[in-house]
Amino acid sequence: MRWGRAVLLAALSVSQAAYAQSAKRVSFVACPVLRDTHLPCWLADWNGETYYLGPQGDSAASFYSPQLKHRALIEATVGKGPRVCGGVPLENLSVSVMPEIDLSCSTILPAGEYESPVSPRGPGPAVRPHAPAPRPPEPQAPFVEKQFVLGFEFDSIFLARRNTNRLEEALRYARASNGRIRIETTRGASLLSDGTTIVERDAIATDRAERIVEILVDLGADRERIEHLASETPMPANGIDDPSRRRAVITVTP
Amino acid sequence: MRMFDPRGRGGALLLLGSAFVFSGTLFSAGARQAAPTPDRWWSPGEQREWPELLSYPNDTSVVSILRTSKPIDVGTHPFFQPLGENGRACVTCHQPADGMSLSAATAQRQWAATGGKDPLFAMTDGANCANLKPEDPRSHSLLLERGLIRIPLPWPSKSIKGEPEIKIEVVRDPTGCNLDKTYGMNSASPTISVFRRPRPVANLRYILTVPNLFNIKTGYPVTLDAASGKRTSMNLMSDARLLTLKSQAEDAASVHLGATRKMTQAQLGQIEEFTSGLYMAATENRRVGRLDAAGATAGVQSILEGKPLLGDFIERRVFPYFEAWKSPEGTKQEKAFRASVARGEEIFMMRPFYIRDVTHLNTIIGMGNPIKRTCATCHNMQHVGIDGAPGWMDLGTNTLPWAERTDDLPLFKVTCSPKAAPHPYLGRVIHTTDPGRALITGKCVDVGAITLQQMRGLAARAPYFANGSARDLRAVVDFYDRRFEMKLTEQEKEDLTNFMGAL
Repeated sequence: MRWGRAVLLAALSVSQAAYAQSAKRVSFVACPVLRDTHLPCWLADWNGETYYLGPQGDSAASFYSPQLKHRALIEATVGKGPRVCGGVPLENLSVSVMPEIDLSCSTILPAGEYESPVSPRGPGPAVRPHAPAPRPPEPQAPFVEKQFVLGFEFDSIFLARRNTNRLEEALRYARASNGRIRIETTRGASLLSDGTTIVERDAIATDRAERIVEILVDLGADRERIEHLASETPMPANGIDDPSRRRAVITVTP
Repeated sequence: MRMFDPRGRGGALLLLGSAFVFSGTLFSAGARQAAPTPDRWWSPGEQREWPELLSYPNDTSVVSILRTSKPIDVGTHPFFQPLGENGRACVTCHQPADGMSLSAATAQRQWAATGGKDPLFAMTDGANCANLKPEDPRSHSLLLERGLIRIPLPWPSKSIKGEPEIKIEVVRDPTGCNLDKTYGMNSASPTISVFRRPRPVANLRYILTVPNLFNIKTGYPVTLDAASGKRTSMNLMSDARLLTLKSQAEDAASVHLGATRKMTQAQLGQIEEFTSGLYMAATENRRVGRLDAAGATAGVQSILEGKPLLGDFIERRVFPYFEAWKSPEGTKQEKAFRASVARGEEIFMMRPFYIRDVTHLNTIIGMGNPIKRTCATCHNMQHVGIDGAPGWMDLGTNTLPWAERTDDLPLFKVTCSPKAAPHPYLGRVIHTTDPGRALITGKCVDVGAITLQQMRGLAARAPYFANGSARDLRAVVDFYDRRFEMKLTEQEKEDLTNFMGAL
């Protein structure tokens, strides 16, 4: 088992290194910029280049829009496609809104010659509601140890919709398997492209763990069957997969 | 003549207790003045009949209340009985002529009729502060001019987990209550007084609907009601401090009615059953008559038959009533008004503008700041226009720099702890006339956040916003136009005003 895990880690390490060589990563903190196309798009300027972040979003979208009045941490891989909204597209993008206010982040550019980005909906109402997602099937035996990973924005303990869905999934599995729940949370760091490293605030791993416990108990989990471990030592930052190191791993053991 | 038929079209409406029975519509063709209705005010303890459909005219429309619960005996029903020492009942502040709320105009009429002796003006909270001179209109100016009731809230609230993130100081105290030695922040029971409009007690099937297990604005599950074991909508009160009809009724009996004994479970059940079965909307307009005529489908029946679903869709609009009025029938004047209402609905649903710096909308839920959307983004629940999410947000009606510049409301300076994240748009020092939800959670991010109100029967219950800062519907439109730089034309403002008045 240990040998298998070591092989897996080595493989991951090799693939990440190869990925880093083949794809340019960028990590920077900058003011987001809004372009006033019919459906607005979000951009960010860094090191003389403009990057396209995504279209105006909503709580169900995979891309959560940044905010004017706040700088944002952008962590991504530079894409190869044509410019969108005047910006270089990014892949594997993580956008974190910095909590402190920065009033200099206030730029709204005119649409100019740019088209709206491709998006399922415009600035008005959607045409019709999505068909409700099918209720996930109840977990069935045989039950094995299973992990559920929640990712976080930098310096945030907020559970976005994708995380609350995952949390519900974990709880269903724990109930069905009569399993114990172990929550391991981290405090992240990010290696920026300018060589500096920024670290999440003190005690954030503890706050993440306590919030998850609080929610699970509110949803009916037995506090006695939950343990949590918060690692406040900042995760090493490598400028490659730093967003995935700001996380909570929920392990359900039947 | 049928006495009334709530499901009929063009049926007769009855003004109870008065000698006036109108056949067809309350506003006859060409009429500009509603008939006098001497029975508009419902006094506690009166022996009257509450019919299945109860309708009252106001300056621009008729608002009707449809009762779907079993008939009640008003003479003994706890909603109508003075349960405490001050002579008030629930109905005192939830008057049917005012869409089950209370308008400032009604308060003024009742003052004039009773010389300020009506229980409505009880000093406990019907005055700017309980220590002022009774029966002096200056002591009741916020109720008379803005329709505001004093809401005394303990500070810090027991509901706050740990230490509050915020410190509250009184900057301006025109009522004298917040610095008073008996009633204020430095009293033996530290209390903050804010002043808020009574919310309509109707269409509660919508208000109490729980669309989602999680509140997307906080990432927490919506709060569980311990008594029933059920999740709650958190949309009942402006600060979501009470979550069920029963808990609200119990609190109101104690705080507003001066009850010294707890209501019985039977009384609470009666109130819950009665209020849950009330549906309220504008049913007629002075200029065109019925709002469910000439192809339109508004009126109280629309709410009764509707479902509390998200309505922010082209194929499922929030208020899907006025499509036929885009090509209206009628006289020239009727056509003009109907077309205006239809245009107003189209603006409400479809005209994008930048919504910015609104906590709990533009913040962490993925929308971004600003977001180019429409009115229906927030006013999204079909038939009532609340935000099902739940709906508290800081729109700016009570926080500077957006709030009305006034000197009759208290002004608080709220300072957020450096250990906490700042308010996302106002920073760590905020000036507000009502800290809103933050008085319940103690959180910096909640300062100024107030739960959206429903949009039915609006014409009956001016002024608007929780602090009564918009004296009429046009002022509501003007606020949004200014706040979000909508750049509405004069015609668009009139259209939106007419549309809201037809709800």
